[in-house]
Amino acid sequence: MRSYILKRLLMVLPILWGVSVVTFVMMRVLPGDAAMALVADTPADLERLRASLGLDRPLHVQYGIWLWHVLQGDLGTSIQLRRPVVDVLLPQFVNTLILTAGSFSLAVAIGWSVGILSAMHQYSVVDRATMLLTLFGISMPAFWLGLVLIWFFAYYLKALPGAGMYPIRGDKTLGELLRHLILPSLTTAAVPAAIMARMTRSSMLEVIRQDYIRTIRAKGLPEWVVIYKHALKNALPPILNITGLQLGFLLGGAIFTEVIFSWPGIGLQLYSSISGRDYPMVQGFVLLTSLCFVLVNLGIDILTSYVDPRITVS
Amino acid sequence: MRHHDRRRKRPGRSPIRRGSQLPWRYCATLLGAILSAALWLQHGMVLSPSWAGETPRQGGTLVYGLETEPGVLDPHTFGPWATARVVMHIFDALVTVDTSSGKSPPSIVGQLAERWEISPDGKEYTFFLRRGVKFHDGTDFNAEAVKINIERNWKEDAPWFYDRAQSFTRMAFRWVTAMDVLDDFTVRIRLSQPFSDFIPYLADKQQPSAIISPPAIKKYGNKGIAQHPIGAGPFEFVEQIPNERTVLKRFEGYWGKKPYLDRVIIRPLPDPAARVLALQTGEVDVITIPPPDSKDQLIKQGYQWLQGDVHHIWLLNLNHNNQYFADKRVRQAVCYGIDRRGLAKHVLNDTVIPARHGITMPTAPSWDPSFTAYEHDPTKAKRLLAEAGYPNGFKTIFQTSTAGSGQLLPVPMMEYIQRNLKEVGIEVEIQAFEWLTYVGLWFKGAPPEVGAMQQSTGRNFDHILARLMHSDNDAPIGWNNGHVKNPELDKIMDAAIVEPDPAKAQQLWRKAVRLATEECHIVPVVHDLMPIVLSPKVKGFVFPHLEWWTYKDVWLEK
Repeated sequence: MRSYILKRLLMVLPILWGVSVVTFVMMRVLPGDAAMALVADTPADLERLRASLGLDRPLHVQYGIWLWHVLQGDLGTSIQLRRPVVDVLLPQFVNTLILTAGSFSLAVAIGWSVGILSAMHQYSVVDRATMLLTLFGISMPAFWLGLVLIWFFAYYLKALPGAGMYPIRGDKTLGELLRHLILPSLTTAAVPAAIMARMTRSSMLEVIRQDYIRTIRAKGLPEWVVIYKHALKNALPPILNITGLQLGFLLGGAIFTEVIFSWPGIGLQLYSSISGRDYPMVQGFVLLTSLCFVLVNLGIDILTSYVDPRITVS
Repeated sequence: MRHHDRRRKRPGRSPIRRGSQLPWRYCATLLGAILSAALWLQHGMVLSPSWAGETPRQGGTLVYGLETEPGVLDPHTFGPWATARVVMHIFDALVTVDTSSGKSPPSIVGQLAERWEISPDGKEYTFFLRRGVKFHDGTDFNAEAVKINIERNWKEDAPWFYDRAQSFTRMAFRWVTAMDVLDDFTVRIRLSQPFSDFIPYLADKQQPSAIISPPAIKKYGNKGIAQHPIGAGPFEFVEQIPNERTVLKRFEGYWGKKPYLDRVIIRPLPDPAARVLALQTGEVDVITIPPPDSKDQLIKQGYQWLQGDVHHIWLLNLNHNNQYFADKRVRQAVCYGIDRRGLAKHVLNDTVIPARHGITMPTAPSWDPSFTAYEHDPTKAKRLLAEAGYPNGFKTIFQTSTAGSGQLLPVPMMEYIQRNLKEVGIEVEIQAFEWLTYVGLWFKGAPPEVGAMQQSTGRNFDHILARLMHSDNDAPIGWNNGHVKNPELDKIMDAAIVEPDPAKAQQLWRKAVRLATEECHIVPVVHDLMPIVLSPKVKGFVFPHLEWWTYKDVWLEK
C-alpha cells in the first residue's frame, strides 16, 4: 500500500506539468490578452504595456520563465491585482475549501439519507416524492437556485444573509460564518446531493434484494441493523466513488455559487482572472486545483479499498 | 434625474411634514419641485432632494456594491472607470471634475491646484498649488510632489518614471516638454503645441494629475503603490481583500471639508441580480449598473433611482472600407433606419436616452441640443438605399461583444437594430464575441467584409472624437476602426485640438460633430444615463453627471 501511495504521489509531478503546459497554451490561444484587459489608450500604448508585462516575448520563453519561478516556489505576480499569486490564492482557496466542506457535508447528509430512505420504501409516496425532488435538484442551475434562495431566505424572510462570508459591517465570528455558509452550501450541494441520492438508492436496492439480507431479516435482526450494518456497507463502494467524483464537481461548481453569493473564494477569483486574462493567476489556480483533484482521487481509491478489501489499490 | 424616496409613500413621514417646522424648508421643497419639473421636461425624469433641509449625521459605514473587483489602486496605472470610483476617494489631483454640484455638464475645478494660468500661446500652464495639504502619511504636499508625480508618468529618465503609468496617461502628457518647479507652491508645465483639452485630460478619471505621496513612491517603489495607495484624498486606504472588500476610512487631516462617513466599504458584486438583492436585503447601500428591468420595482419599493446625463455614447463604427458603407447614402440609410427611441424604451427601460444630437456625448462641450439628426424614418432609409443602387437591400455583418465595460446589453440591442434594419432591407448577421476577444478585434479595425463594429465610449471633453474619426488614428494605430478618412473633418478637428480659446474650440468641435453626423461616419445609437441606486437611508448624494465620484458629502440616516 505504501509503495502504491508513493508511486501515485510521484505521478502527481508529471500530471501537474502536463496540466500547466495545456493551461499555458490554452490561455495564450484565447484571443485578447492581459494588456487589453488593463484597457490601455491606444494600440501603441498596448504594445508598451505588453512589453512591460513580458507578453512580447516568445511563448516558450514566457513559459520557461514561469516554470523556473514555480520550481523555486514562486507562482508569480497577478497582473490584475499586482500582488503575489500565492498571497491572493491561498486565503481564497481556504474560503473555497470552507464552502466545499459545507456543501459536501450537506450533499452527503442529504444524498445518502434520502437515497437510503427511498430504497427502504421503494415505490412508496416517499420514494416517488424524493426521486421527483432529486430530479429537480439535478435540473436546477446553481445561478438560478442561488438567486431564488437569496430572494426567499435573505430578502423575503430576512432570516439568512445572502452575500459574502461575514457581515460586511460586523465582526468575523464562527457563528456568522456558519450563517453565511448555509445558502451557498445549499446551492452548491443541490446537484451532487441529488446525484448521490439516486446512486445510493439504486446501489442499496441492489443489495437489499440479495439473499444474505433476506437471511439476516429472517434471523429477526432489527431493520436499522440490517440497513446500516449489513446493506449499506456492501452498497458503499459505488456510492463512495460517486461521492468522490462529486467532491471534484463541488470544487469546480463553486464558481457560480461564489459569483452569486460574492463568496471570496478561488471560483470568484478565477472568473475575473480568466475574463481579464490574468495568466499567472489562472496558472496558479489550475496547479492548485489539479493537485486537489489528484489527491482527492487518491484518497477515495484508498478509502474504497479499505471499505471493500476485494478491491486492491494496486 | 430620478430621485425617489420611500418615505414619501408612507403616510405621516413625508419630507414636507417634517420640513414644516421651518419656512425655508418649504423653499427647499419648492426648489426641488421646480428642478424636478425642469428635468422632467428635459428627460422625462424627476428630481426630489429627499434630504434637503436635513442636518447631516456624522459617522457610519457606507457599503457600495461595485460591479467588479476594483483591482489596482495605483492612480496612474488603472484602466476601468469602476476603479476610478475608488481611487477618487484616496487621491486628490491637481484638477478634478466637480461631481458635487449636480450640474450637467460638471465643471473642471482646481483641487490640489487652487488655480492655474494658461499662457496666451496656449503652451504654458502655471499651477498655483494649495497650501496646508497633507498626505495620509503626514507628508506635506508641495511643488516637488507634483514634479515627482508628473515625471512618474512622462519623463523617461526620471528616477521615479514608471513605464506602465505612461501607457495609461500618455494621451494627457504626449506634448509635454518640460516640468518646472517655480517655487514651493508653483509649477509650470510646458507643451510643444497648444492642446485645448489638456486640462480635461489632467482631470480625466482622476488619473494623470493624481498626486501620490512621494515618500510612498520612494519607500514602496512604483509597483508597490498598488498595495500602498497613499494620497491626499478625503478617505485613506485601510485594506483591500481581492473580491471581498476594499475598506477606506475618513482622513482626519483632509484639507477640505471632512467626510461625514467614518468608513466606505467597496464590495465587488459581479452578478447584477445578486447586486439588486444585496441592496434589497440591506447588505449594501449603493449599487451601480442595475439591470434595467429592476428599475420599476426598485422605485416602487422606495429606493432612490438616480440617473442623468453622463459622458457616454453607444455607437456603430460603420466600416468605410466595406463595399456598401463606403457610400454615404447607405450610411445615412442605417442612421434613419434605427428606431433609437424604441430601443431606449423597450430594451433598456429608459435607462438611456436616444442619441439624437449627433456623434458626441451629453456632457461634452460639443453637445448641442439644438442640433437634431436622423429621427427614425424607414421610408427615407429605403429611398436612400434605392438611390445608392440597393433597392432590394443587402446582407452584411455587424460585430459586438456579449458584455463589457459600458456596453449595456449589447446583444439584445443589436438584435433590436437587426430587426429595424431588416424593415428597410438590410439583413444583418450579428457576430458577438466575449469581451476581450472583441477588444482584440476592435483594436485591429474592421476588416472589409464587416459592415460595422459596435463600441461604447465617451469623455466629458471632445478630443475623443478625433480619436474615433481622425484619419491619423486609423486602426490599427488608433480607435478609428471604421477607417474614416475625411480631410475636411481632419482639418476642423486639428484646428479644434490646438485652439487655446475654449469658446472657439467648442464651436470648432460642434462644426466637426455636424459634419461627421451629416456624413454619418458613425451611427450614434444611445447615451447611457448611468443609473445609481441608493438605499433610502443614504442622504446627501448628488447625481455626479460623471462615471466616477466620491462619497465625501454623503451621510447615512440612522
